[in-house]
Amino acid sequence: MGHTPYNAVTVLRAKFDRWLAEKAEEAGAMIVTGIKVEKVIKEGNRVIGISTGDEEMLADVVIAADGINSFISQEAGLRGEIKLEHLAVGAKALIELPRATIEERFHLTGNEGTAYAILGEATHGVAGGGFLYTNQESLSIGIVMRLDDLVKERVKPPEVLDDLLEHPMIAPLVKGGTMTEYGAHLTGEGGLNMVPQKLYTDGMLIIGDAAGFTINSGLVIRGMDLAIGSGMAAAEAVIEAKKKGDFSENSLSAYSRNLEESFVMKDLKFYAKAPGFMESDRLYKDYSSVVNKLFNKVYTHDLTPKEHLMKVATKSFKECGISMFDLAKDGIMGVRAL
Amino acid sequence: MNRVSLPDKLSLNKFEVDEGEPHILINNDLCKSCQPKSCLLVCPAGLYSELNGEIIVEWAGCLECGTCRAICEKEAIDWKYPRGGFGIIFRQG
Repeated sequence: MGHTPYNAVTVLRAKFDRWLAEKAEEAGAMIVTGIKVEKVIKEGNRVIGISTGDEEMLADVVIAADGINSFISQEAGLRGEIKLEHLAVGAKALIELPRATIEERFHLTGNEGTAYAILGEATHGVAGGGFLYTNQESLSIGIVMRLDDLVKERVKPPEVLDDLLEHPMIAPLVKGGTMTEYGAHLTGEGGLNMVPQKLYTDGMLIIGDAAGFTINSGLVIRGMDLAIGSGMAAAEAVIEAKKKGDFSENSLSAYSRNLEESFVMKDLKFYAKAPGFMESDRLYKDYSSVVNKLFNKVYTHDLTPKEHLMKVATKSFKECGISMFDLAKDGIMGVRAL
Repeated sequence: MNRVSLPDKLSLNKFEVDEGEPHILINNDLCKSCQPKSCLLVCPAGLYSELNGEIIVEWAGCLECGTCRAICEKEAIDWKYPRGGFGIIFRQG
């Protein structure tokens, strides 16, 4: 997979965002940083610009791309608060290691990279998971935990991350590394269920995390590709609106049509059942210990006679309090959802 | 790798602190009737603590995720992004 077309890439956002901003400038955009948008300015029901508190900037159209906490799309009445069960918090450490060490530990050559998704013990059984991916001269490693379950289980994110770094599977991979940054991020996991009814109004559109465009398929949490895809769909709608000189809600509804035709809505719909499937506590609390128990028995050679694998498996499930009915239910739901 | 304490983790980061302009304000009248006090647990930077029955926040080390605001069932946390040019500056991301 280390050659084109690549299946996926890893990026460091500080670098990637700067690169993308340069591309936008090359295409003629003017980028103003270092100011905070306090609110949108309205004329009747129409959004006509933004205010920084001291200054105002008028525009034909405002595109809200201010992330999961998007205060401005809430203020514009496009979105309400997001439910706790649709939110997860991530804590991530950046650990620097020499490139040669990373290549050796992860069996990489050239521009190859690797990514791990970790389930079970990594989050102390809290709904969510751990992740690790390689950069050229660093590793990004972290945990993501659903807020409703985090509150229930009473664990602290930085302690869970510390424990993951000391896990026997992870410790040798980060050995000798230097932590150089520690970050956190709130992320949406509700998929289609958390996307607001309306993504546009007179003079305004919302894209990316602000519009709830994130997918947790159980294997990966997606957000960046959906942000880019929705940004493109919005840009095309605005270009069309500009041609007509009409930035009304009706004219901007082209955004919705563009989204429907793109991978953004297709994938959000495809994975719409995933959050329901992943509500099952068994996924985070029970199955990893079943697997551990099962393989412990299979690979224990202590001069006692072996049992048939099916019998060993049935016993392991029973010991963890999982009925065959639960297993069948989760299996069917999983197949349907993913 | 040795364990890195939370204060040491935060000291790795670059913060442009907006002195005297806290971007997180707590209405402690509402906190008094709060049972779970989940803010004390969920903050990835561990900025919340309890002192003489009041919730306090060391807002200067904020990683700007917004988890505390989302989780506060009393809506006692007035959380905004810091003013333009201030707050956490992720060098890597």
